[in-house]
Amino acid sequence: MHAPILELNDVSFKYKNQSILENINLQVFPENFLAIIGPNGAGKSTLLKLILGTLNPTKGVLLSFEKNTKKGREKIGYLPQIRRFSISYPITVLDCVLMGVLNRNLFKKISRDDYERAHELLALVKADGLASKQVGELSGGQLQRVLLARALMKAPKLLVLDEPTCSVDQPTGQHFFELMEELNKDMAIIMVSHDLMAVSQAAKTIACLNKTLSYHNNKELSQKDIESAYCCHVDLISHGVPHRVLGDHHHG
Amino acid sequence: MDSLFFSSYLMCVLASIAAGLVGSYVVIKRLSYVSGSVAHGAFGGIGLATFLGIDPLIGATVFACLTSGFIGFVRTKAPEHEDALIGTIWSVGMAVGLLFIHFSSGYTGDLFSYLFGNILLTSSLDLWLVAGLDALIIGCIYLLYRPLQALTFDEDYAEILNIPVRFLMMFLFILIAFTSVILLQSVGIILVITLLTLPAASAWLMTQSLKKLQILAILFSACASLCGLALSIQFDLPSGPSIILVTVGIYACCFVWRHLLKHN
Repeated sequence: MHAPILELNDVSFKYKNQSILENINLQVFPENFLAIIGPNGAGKSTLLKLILGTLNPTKGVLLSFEKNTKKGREKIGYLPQIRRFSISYPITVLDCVLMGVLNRNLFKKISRDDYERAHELLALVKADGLASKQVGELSGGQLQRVLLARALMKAPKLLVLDEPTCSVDQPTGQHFFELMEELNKDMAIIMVSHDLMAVSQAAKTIACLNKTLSYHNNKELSQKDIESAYCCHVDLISHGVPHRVLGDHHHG
Repeated sequence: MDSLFFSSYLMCVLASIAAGLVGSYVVIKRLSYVSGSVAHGAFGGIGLATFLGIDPLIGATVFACLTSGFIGFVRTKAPEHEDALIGTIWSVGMAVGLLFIHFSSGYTGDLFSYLFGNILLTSSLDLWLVAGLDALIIGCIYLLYRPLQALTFDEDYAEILNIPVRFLMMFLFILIAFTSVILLQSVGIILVITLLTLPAASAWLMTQSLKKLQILAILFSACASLCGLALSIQFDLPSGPSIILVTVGIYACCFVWRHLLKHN
């Protein structure tokens, strides 16, 4: 087995003395496709910010690619939620994707290879006809694919997805998860979602988050895990193999 | 042409280069209140410099840089206070400036021109100074075009890419400070915010490319400044307000053109 590419040891995070995350332990390996589910306010976004190094844990150690998160994130591709930036900004799809190769070197030049890679990735995400379009002209699904191409520009070893099914319709989501399965051959994927149905399709392992993390490195979740995460009764729904999420459900 | 007028027209063109380039970032990143605050904060420097008997432009430049640096610092450390701070600097800068002027002895008549601008007072030293700053701004934007685009488009993602966003944002604020001081000469503190934002906002109605937006913003700004100045000379009007009203006129034309285009 490979060494973990992401390791959280007893990580906690507090904001203004309020505990957001407590004693999180997690290891992610190169072949993993992990979905982290949990209700709104469970700390999913905070956990992603810790992994991406935009927040620091108040307790515990977080190593990404055996380095600190600011170094390690050079190997992480990130697909944010679409609503996080202004879509009226005057930028073309191609320039948006090319942004993905920028780094700490402020004087880095965009090479011919970078342009070629951007076009290849746009073709991969089925957005090759959109290169000269304005980002503001795209539909939710198109924009998501473009942002995925941007995340893939630096050939990441770990792809982090924040609520990827939030603003896309079902067929688009279906294609998206097929693409994820393909990408998972080359990189680990962590997906955060409150959508149980979405994660059941593609993820190999599922973790439940609500301040603390329940993770057993498999795709079966106990009703206890789900209900403790969602703080309420959750009906168990099984799609059957290969989309079984929850264990067999016996009425008492 | 009279050399006094020639200097003034030349100043219009030079100031427009800075206004168009930096103003584009101000508009697309929605930093217009930062630029207004920095310009008003600069008035504190003008007052202090007058009190100490040194060139008011030096005081304005130092205060503009300090206030923009301070806003940049608070923006990263305590963003929840940014809005209140911008408003506070806006009024405190004016208050400090007025108090120092009150305690200054001698003639302080020129101060009125710092409030509302008087481009006819342009000296050859001013022209060289603004030309130098233009060269600096053009050079910086040429070299940092992509990182600045990333910063102003998606700051969170730029940070994850390890682009030094705090340094870059501070740098952008300093550029805003320098540009505000340049514009302060032609239109005055009170009107700086308009000349820094409206030409770029007009250009944004016409194009959806950042490069074209910046070039158009320079052209609109130069057109408004030159026409405004010509009108003020022709009809003996104050130059700053004349320039601003032409700027508003250009914006109105672009707005109508854009909406006509949309409906046809």
